[in-house]
Amino acid sequence: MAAAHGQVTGNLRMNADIVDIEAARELVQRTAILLDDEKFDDWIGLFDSGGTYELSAYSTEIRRWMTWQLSDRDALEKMLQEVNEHVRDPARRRHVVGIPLVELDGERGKVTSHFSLFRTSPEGQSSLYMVGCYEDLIVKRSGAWLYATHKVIVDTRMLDMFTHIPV
Amino acid sequence: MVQPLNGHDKPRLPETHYLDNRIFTEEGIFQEEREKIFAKVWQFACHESEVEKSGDFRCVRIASKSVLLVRGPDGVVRGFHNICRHRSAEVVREDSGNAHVFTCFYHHWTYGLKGELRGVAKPAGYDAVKLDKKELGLVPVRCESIAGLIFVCLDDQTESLRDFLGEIVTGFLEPLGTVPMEVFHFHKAVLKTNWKLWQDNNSERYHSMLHVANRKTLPWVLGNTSPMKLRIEAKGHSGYWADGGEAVVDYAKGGYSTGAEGTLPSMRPDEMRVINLFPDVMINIRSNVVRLDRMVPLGPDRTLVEWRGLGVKGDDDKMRAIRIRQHNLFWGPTGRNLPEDILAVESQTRAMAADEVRYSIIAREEDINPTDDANIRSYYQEWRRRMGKSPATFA
Repeated sequence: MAAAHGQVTGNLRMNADIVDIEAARELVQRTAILLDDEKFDDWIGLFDSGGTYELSAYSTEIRRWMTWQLSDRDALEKMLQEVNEHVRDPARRRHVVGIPLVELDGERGKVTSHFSLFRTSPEGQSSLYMVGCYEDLIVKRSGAWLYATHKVIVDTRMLDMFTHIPV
Repeated sequence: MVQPLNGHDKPRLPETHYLDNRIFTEEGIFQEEREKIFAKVWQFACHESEVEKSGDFRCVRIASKSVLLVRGPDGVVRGFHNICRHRSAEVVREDSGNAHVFTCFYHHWTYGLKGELRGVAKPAGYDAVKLDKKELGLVPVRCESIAGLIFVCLDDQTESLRDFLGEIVTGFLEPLGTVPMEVFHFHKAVLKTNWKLWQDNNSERYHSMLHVANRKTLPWVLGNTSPMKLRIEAKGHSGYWADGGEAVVDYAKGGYSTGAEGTLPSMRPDEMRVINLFPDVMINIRSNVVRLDRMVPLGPDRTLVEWRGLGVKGDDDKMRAIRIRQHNLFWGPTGRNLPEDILAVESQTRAMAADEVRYSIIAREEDINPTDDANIRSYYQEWRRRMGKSPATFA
């Protein structure tokens, strides 16, 4: 009986873990879709109150890691509020994100996901814009997983176009 | 009744006040520029911090040639053509690194850090011809530095770097050359534009209205007068800044973070300074951080641009983070200004290729306020002197 009870508890625990893992994966996919659809307010809503967005790359020329952008929620809001004031790349963008690797530890977790980002010009010509990975730290708040750190590490350093929109 | 000009009619302006757009599009002009400008002038190659220690090296392209820069054990940075004396393979194939010696990958001829030929593989094979290694070091390239900026020159007849730059150095000597600086940021892109259009973009402030951030923070640029004045120096160099440093950016007005902390020597908090060196180097200073643009022209409509961000060596983490933030806010790949500038110069290049409007106008005269075109006119007079033809009429 005790063994059966242990089995049930274990199954429940496993089910809870699977639910959380799926939620973390969905967070990453939702992040990409919200950016592609330019729903910036909803995108910022995926960050914890103290959450940060970081874009980084390694330079083989100067042989060091670089931070290309590090923004808290306030700075992201300011940046994204001004997107439509800028003269900007007219291409639409589409992320393709691989299945995230999720490692949870209670109410916190680490999520690693590879991604590619494509641009399609108004004329309909598509090209690969960027390849990289997300190395995210997430926290559970009121049942929802949010970004404590949403870190983008880009492999692509020769960009066809620069951007006012996060990647 | 005044008839509108045809797209190929010359503007009714002095010849110095307009440009024939074909200087930006024609392959023949580009090849002449390589020969008459890029092979003759001092060109910025890298910052001293990129070759800080003995054996540190950088490989750069100058006028389509591969040039190796290396710091020797004596602390001197030397330049060499990156070509093996044996069968002319490239000796170094990486952008940067640290080496004790350079061994050509093809037949293993080995050079020391001062360029001397140290050894050849299977040396006995050269005994019959008495090969003298002392004659066969890497071919040197002139290499001089100022304020931490390393320049190279392919021409032995060109004046010294200091004479080439003249008085324009007063704009950057103190901010860049008083305290040790280092490169913390590097990115590059191939812009689909002519190299001169990128230089023009940084030279003229009239386009400040293109930028959301500049419209909000630099009202003095677009006003009738400005504390920032053009500095037009000999040999096509120019810049703009205020003598007393009054040209300060009102970041708060735009809702942006300030650049007041950690100001560089001789700079006021939030002061802005711009220096454009002929033919293709730009130094932008926002009080506590520096942006350096280096160009490698690839063709009339293709230009590799390298962007470097510089801060003070030895910054603590907090100060470095402030400089990085200030740099990235405007000049990073996701910065406020850089994406817009690139859209503008690439748009020019697409339109100029059609040759429907043949001339560009550089006719603003505004008492050397930043939106005066006098510095661009000066730049193209230097281009004329070196190319031996007018950029407006080709005469």
